Amino acid sequence: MREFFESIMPNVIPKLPALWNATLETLAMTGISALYILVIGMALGILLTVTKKGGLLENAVVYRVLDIIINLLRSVPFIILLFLLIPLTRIISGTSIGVAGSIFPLIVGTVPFFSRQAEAALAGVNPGLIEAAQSMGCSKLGIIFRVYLRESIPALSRGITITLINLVGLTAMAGAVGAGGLGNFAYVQGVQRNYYDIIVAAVIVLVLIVQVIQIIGNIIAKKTEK
Amino acid sequence: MIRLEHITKTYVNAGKKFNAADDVSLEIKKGEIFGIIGFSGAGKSTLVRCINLLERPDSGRVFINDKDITALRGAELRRQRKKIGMIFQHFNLFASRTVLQNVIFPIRYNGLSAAERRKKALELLELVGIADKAGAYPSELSGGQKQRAAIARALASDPEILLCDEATSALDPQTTEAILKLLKSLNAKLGLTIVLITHQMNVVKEICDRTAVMENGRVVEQGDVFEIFANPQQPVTRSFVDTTSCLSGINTLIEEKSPLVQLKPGQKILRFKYLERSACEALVSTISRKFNIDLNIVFGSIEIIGDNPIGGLVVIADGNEDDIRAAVKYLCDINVGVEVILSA
Repeated sequence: MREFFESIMPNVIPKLPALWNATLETLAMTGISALYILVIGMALGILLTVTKKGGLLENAVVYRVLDIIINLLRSVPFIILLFLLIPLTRIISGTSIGVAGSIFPLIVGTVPFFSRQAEAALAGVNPGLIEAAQSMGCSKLGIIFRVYLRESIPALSRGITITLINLVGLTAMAGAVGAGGLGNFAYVQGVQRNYYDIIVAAVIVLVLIVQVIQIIGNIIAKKTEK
Repeated sequence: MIRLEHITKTYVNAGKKFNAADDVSLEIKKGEIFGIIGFSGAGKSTLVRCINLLERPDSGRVFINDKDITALRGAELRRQRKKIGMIFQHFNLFASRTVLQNVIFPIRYNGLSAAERRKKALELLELVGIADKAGAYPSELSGGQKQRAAIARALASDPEILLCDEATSALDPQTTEAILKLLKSLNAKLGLTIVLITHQMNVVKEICDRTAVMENGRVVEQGDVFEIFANPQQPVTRSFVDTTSCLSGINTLIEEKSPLVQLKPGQKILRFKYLERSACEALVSTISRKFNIDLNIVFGSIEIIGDNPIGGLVVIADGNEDDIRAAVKYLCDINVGVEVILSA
């Protein structure tokens, strides 16, 4: 087994500890930024939903402003955003490199995407349910938590799955420009030295991470879908 | 109990103004079942939503127990809404919650303990006849069971009023019948005032005490269900009443020159209509005996509404011209509407 592995991936064996380290860095970048992204994106998704025309707290100004900012941010390619944000990242995170330096751009790059995912999930809630809750004297906050969020759990978990998978991809891109993680590992150890097997090994780990996220997401969506 | 005063609500759609409610005034008494009937777009949905202010009227006021609820906002309005249950055409049950959890939803924060809430919800499910479905999710229920669950949920906060928004329109005739029976029994058992809107005349006929007919945002006719059925004044009311009777079928037969209505000399086609509550005499035998004419019944439609027969007959009368005339006069005298549809 080991011999077979050595024969097809000769350059990976000595780098296994580094590969493991890179994997942990990728998981850390994904995990830490995901916490912020889910909280902020969810809040914006809710805000978009309730302020839109016909919403619970209809407010054209708030909706328009949010809508424009999100569209603007979404139209900047992540690789450009990384460089654009460097001065701001330095102020906020104290550094613009390594795992710490990658969190802020990952958040800025993914929040707009996730807030649209959240908005779409909440838009899938049957307006009749909102009306029913109102007829029962439910407060607006109650409707947000007890109807919108609760009823959209399956759709939200699908949106979160897509967002996390996207995020893993972006951490690799951030890694390629100095943030560490599997992207950096593949680029520095593999691409620059022309060790093809190292690139393949990094990709395999990324594929595994994405698969695990997808499977967990599917299970949650299925379990909560009634 | 419920008093609507000059309710007006206008929508603007694609630059066009649309009067969903146009100066509507209605009074609904405590403990009655009041039906609002109209074709789609007549504004009945808007009107019923004005009662719990899911739609706020542009002008006009809504009184419940002589309290002007249009003056209420925020928490006060929410407290008032708890006293008004509502059920919907498409049930609007929370798909992520079991039937029991759906019924508990409106009373979740009302101060009862978890055990008391559960007990109350189970009692309500018992009342509507689906206690065995407490643990099921809405997707596992039939349409009738869903509406029963929705009714239990609407009753959870002990409302005095139940608003029904086309509550039977998505159900098959048998299930409609069963749900209407349930509503009627709740009305009797709990003294619940029920306001229902529908486009189905048979729903009104089946359970309502009084009714209002809506067209283009206005109430064109209202009153006792029997009066409305017996004496529809407006064309729209007449067309609704016709949907529940087969008497107008004679016109089709005549148009199609059916052999059934090929008259021999001396025959006439007559339509009798019961206009009064007392019309339960032996009409046909009386006039055939008294005036020596033969009556051949072509169509008959007699229903019991509020314990009174309503409807009429279409007959081919065969006899002496003068005798038939005398019979018609006799019928008019005892307040049966008679119409000569065709003479040979």
